Amino acid sequence: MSLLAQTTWWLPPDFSEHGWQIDRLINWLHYFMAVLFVGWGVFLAYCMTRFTWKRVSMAHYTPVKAKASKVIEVAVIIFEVILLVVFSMPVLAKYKNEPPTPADNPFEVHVVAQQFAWNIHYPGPDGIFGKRDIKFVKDATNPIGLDRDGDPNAKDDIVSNNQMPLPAGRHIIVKVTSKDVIHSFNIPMLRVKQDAVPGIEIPVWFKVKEGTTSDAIREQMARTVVVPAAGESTTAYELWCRNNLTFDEVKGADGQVVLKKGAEPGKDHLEALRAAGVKELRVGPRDPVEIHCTQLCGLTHYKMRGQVLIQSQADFDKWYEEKAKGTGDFIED
Amino acid sequence: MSHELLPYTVKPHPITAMYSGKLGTWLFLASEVMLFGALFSTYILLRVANPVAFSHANTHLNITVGAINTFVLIISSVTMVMAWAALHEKNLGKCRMLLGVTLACALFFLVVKLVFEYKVKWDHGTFPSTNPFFAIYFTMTGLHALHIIGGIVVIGYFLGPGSKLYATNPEYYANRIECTGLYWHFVDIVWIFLFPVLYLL
Amino acid sequence: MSHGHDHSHGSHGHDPHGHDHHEPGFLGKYVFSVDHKVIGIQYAVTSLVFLLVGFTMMLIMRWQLARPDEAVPIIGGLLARLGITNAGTRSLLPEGYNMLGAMHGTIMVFLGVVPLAVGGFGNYVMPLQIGAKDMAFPKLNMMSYWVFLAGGIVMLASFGANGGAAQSGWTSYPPLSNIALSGQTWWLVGMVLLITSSLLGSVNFITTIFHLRAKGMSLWKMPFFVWGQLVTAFLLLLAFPPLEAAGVLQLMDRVADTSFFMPAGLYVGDKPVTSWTGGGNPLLWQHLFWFLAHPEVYVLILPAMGIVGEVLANNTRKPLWGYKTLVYSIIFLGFMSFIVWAHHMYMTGMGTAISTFFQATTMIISIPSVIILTCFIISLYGARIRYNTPMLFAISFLPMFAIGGLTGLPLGLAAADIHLHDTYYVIGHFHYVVAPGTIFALFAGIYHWFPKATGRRMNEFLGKLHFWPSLIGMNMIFGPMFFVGIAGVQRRLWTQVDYNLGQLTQSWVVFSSVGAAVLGLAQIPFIINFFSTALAGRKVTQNPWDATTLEWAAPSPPPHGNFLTEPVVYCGPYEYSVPGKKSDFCPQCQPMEA
Repeated sequence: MSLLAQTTWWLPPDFSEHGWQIDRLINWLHYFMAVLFVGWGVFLAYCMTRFTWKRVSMAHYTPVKAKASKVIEVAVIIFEVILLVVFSMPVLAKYKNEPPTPADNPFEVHVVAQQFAWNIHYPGPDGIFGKRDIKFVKDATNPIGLDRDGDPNAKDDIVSNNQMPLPAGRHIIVKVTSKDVIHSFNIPMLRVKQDAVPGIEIPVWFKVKEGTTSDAIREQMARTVVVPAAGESTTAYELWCRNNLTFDEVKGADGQVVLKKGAEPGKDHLEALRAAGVKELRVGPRDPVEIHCTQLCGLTHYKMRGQVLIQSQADFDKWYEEKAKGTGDFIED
Repeated sequence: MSHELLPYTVKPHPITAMYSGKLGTWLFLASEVMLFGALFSTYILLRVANPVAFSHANTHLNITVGAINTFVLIISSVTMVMAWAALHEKNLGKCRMLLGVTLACALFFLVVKLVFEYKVKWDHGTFPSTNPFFAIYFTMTGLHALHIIGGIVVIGYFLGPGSKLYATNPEYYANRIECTGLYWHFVDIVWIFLFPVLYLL
Repeated sequence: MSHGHDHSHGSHGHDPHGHDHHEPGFLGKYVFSVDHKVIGIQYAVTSLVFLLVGFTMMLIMRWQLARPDEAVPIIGGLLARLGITNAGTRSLLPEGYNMLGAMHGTIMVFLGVVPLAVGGFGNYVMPLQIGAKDMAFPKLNMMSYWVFLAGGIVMLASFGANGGAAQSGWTSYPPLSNIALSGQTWWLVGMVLLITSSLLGSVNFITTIFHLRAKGMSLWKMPFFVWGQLVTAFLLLLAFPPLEAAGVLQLMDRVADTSFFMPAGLYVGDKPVTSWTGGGNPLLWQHLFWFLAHPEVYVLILPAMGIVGEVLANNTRKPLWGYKTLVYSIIFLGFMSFIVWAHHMYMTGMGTAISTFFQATTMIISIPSVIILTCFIISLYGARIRYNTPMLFAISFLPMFAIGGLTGLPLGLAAADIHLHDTYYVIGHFHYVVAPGTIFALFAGIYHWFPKATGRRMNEFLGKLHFWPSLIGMNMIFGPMFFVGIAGVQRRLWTQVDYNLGQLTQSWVVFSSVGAAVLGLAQIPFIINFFSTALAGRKVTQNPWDATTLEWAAPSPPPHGNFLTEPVVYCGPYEYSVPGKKSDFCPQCQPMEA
């Protein structure tokens, strides 16, 4: 039951500035669909119960004059036109055709997808991206083939594996490409999706809502996990603890620390938790904002998971400068 | 032969004005147009994306050989029509002779294609993998050559064992030759598009 | 068509089925038969087997999704030999999941639903309904079945290929499919065979419908099912060749190292790609593929609509409401289906002008679907509904197809598609169209025409025992997918439990898998019913449903040549409950006055 209670029924939370328009369109569409479906359904149910073999002695040969069908068709056409012209096209146009201008002071990041990881390429403090070429690719240390030695602009570049720290409240442009097969760069909780097509670099832009941080989102997504007693199924416990961290130190009845703050509880801890008499754990996702790959990209497509770390501009700058100093560093997952 | 039961196998249908085989052949050709249409679209797309490869590569093709083959195919189309016309003169011998000429043209085309074009390319180390131009060149001409081979099989059949049908049902036989001709003209027309597109442009 | 009798035919007219030639032996009669009915049954039985195979694959995948990395029950050990499951733990491997995913899609679409709807029902019923003795090209018809079977065998055999079957999804997007192991080559060869078979079939269908209609069977007297088959045949004829071209190009890419779909400068795994020179475009495949695969959606649904139309008219005992509107709608659907393909590609970075065009065409194509559904539902008004098994399946098609169709709208609008593209929402959407939609219609067809093909009527109790749990199972499987998808979980994952959003929807996934088990169990009564009726079912008259269309004027099962006397058509296809008539139906082949 604890499974069902914490199940999502609708859209995930949204932390982007543009996302509400997509959500609004999705919601409106579903209202419209519901009206149409219920309308059909009620009429269908009426016919199915009213015109049965027993209740009717002979069917009507002459077709009913159904003005209703014309009305439905016209209404559907009008509604679809409204959805398309008023709700979909402007949103899409903004999403696709109106990149942030230099006046908006956008922050540009490159994403180079590969089987099965997201390489995030930051330009460093100079704001200029170093050249990339596959001839420089070294799997462990230089996955995107950055020309560290030849191109001075590359000296301060930061390349990160699956980890994507981003500042909140600033326009962000992500240029997405791939070095092998087609992937799709998707951050559901920022309502961003763009296929990563090899040979092409495609920009996508968004802005995380001012004041958002990953820590706050983790708090928002916190949940309580029941520690199963001995002999009970551990499926739900294991599922809900996977990639989740504790918020507080977990202490047993005797005051002994079972789990540290920020630890990932798992099957191994069960014994200790039971022994200490802990009944419930409060946990939250380690990486609350995830990058999904939505295009089948091969064997471990299911593992191609990145993390967006949303920070305040100040925290982000601090991280950025620190990383840029360690020239040539490659940030491991 | 159970299909002889069916109406319009030999006589034309009053509305479509075609016997079934002819309608079927036209429908088949419509799908062939879509097949080669997709390949020509691919050609355009590749050419736009690789202007350099395309502008240089076709200088490596032998226009003379291509032109001779074009000429031979056009002749074969003419003899194919004449073979059909010969049946209207009730002259099976002439028909078979002309089918033989058509067949010879088709074989000539294939041999020239293989020996003086493909083999020369391969000897020079030019393969479909060399660049996008040769990729589409070999694919399209190769698929066309498969169609030629298909034609050779069909024409060969009606020249040989298939011609027995003439004795029992000459009209039916003439219809089959007509359908074969339709197909053969289509194969020629494809080549008439391929030649300028690949060799000249 | 009224003067549609020529001389060559007349000479044989007195003896439509006898023919003095030697009787064909067993092989000629049941295996290498040129009779459209035998070929239809061959298609139907083969495709039912493939449907079961494809369904079993889905069960294995659903097991993995609900119980990640746990041993597959019963067949886990067997699957290990094919490299699908882990030899030690017997749990489904990620490569096994990808194989099953790709092959489930391919098998269900190209070897299950289309061959059953077109090859099976189209072949068996269409010539009977137009009063023809056979298909226009019987030998071609036989050939298309055998080419289809060869394609199916190649597909299944690909599991034995080095590295197993194709793993790049039924859509086979390059470069992934280009760099894939040899199973992908088998897949392409299988596809080329299947496409060839479809092309042969479609030429045959169109010619048959245009040339071999009985006297008096004008186009507007054709049953709706025949119209559905006609439009479908045109879609197959014109949409399949571009996929054949794409298949040839991908074969070239894989076998001859051309670079049609390969851009330069790729780096796969731990080394740069050197076998391809580059210069191609991976999106070209997607355009060619979807140029086929969108019309393909209508290939899946139009014959189903045709069947539903037949069963509805017969069991409402009244004419289909808006017959001509229905026909115009499906013709319009057929045309429009050629210019909506890029709505599968909104996320590939296409410009807003192009995506606006495809959004507009997608909204336009939804209109005829709405019209068709509305016409069907209004047909029930003023009816006298007979709730037999075929009718239950046909009626439930309506709300199921409505869900499938409506959920296409958010996917068709590019802005909403940003969130929903390639999530489980898509899976829910097209399965509602094809599974409780088309497959229910196909079941309706099986129950409806079984007495025609065998002379025996299927058991009603077992039929209902098949229907109700199937309806529940289908909705249990596919309903939750909308919630999983809207939560943002992407498709084609071996397991989703690593993702936050996946964890939040995992209980839906488990629920779906339970539904799959329900659906599986629900097929047992059907299988029992199918075989027990075929062998020893209740014998019925030649027209047990009191139906109007021509196939019921032939004996059950119809002999070679179909009709004992040449049928002549006097009235429209659905003259039920005509006022002033004694019986509540007027067969097409009887004058109205009689």
